[in-house]
Amino acid sequence: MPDPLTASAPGGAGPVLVIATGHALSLALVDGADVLGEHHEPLARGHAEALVPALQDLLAGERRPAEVRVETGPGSFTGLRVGIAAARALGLAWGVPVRGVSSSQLVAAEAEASGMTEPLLVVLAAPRGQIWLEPLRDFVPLAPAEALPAEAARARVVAWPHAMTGSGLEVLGVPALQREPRARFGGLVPEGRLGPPLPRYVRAHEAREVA
Amino acid sequence: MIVLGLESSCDETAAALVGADRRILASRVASQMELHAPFGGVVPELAARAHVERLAPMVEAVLAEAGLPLGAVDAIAATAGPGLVGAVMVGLVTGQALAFAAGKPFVPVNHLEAHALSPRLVAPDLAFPYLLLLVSGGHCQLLAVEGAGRYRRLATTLDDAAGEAFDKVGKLLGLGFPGGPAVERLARAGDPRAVPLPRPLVGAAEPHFSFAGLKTAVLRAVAERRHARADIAASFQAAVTDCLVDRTARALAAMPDATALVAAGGVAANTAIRAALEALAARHGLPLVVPPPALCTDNAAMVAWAAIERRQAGLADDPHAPARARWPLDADAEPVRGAGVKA
Repeated sequence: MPDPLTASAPGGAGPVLVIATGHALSLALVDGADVLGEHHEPLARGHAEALVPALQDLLAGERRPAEVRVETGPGSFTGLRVGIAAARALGLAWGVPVRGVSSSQLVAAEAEASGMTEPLLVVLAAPRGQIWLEPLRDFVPLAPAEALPAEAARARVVAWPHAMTGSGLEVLGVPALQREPRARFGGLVPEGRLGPPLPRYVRAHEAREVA
Repeated sequence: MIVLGLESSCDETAAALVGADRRILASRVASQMELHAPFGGVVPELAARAHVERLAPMVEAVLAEAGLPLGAVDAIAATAGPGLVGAVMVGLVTGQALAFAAGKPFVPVNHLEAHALSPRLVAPDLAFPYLLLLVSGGHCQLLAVEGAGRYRRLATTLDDAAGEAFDKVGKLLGLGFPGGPAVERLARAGDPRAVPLPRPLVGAAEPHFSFAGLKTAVLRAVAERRHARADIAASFQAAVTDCLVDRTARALAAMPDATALVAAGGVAANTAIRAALEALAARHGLPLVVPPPALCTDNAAMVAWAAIERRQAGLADDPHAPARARWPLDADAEPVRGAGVKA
């Protein structure tokens, strides 16, 4: 049975629920550039407890989306997993597609909306003083995302000849507009640039194999 | 009433559909053993990674197997603890989000309570109160089960859980991880009296368990290189069995109104231990109830069943309960030295 919202909207489009929990707790119901509702709070921990109550508030009034997009990283492993677990459950229950949007794509979408030109180096604050780096052009990574110590990241940032943005610049002492991934920009990423709803683990896990 | 249960507290990803009439409509468990074996134990980060990949497809699979849409489910339940908190979170948030999207009630379940009530899923006549020996890789407790939500802890371990001791001995004997079933297999070929090993706390006035000293003694026996590995395995298993039987006998004496002795958790699947508990129960004129192996080890049918029992008992649960690493069943139990690290 077609979803009523999908069926009534031109081209099968409809509101998209965007869940971003790798950095802040950021949720939005969007239709392209239109933001129909938003919940954004800076939150270092406790995404799991806050997520479903915040979703309930955001979607009160039976606003059922036609698609779910979820942040895939780089970001807090635990935060990302909480968002992805919820997104996949919602997609299953509603029978709607679930797609992954990277943290860098969310930041790039915001940068593009404010007129920043690409290619773009996305610089995000990571735990333990590390920095995540991912260069993008047209929402496609130009190189694999990396987690680097601040000094190595600073060298990369200084050498980058184009625009850059993201929450990690503040950590490096580089003056710039500070941005962490925000769900409200999730509708601006073209569908063809989205990925599977699975976490992108930039830092390897720390377990060592036994001899 | 049909409940969808989810379990992700350690290294098994599981989903199940269970009816209030005790029918298990579908139950699936994906073990992560192959992921953790190279590390000699469960790696919490790897466990959480696997849960997030596997759980949603598994929910779809159990619904398909039962031929039910999510809308036909009356409630959704998930383990909220105790366990590896990052792993618990995946199942808990999945359950909460499913319940929200489908407009169903959500029941957060204590994993230990799910083990404690699981025998009633297969033994309809099992009446409260009963004595539960909960023995697994993470837990070793004796509980008086007086009803859903009503537990008195009679004993716990001061150090390792019994299953943990099996796993560590398995590692010492070069049997890999998890060690429990491998130690049991090796023990069949050995002499249980060949290696003198201690029985910590057997005969002690205090009610608790302890396995650390036994594990150290096995370490020494292995280092001596005088004994066959099968003899060490058999002697170790005999020592654990003696400890479990002695402590359980003490608890049975303190619980004259018990209707049965119940053993649950992965270690309850050990044939030698089971036979010894059977004999103990018979000496007290009680039946021994052990759920089938698929319900003894971690699974989601027991989670769904615990939710059914709690709803039938009229217990109200906070649907927004947080994931908990520790969640003792008996909140009033006195802390004991060294214990409580795992639950």
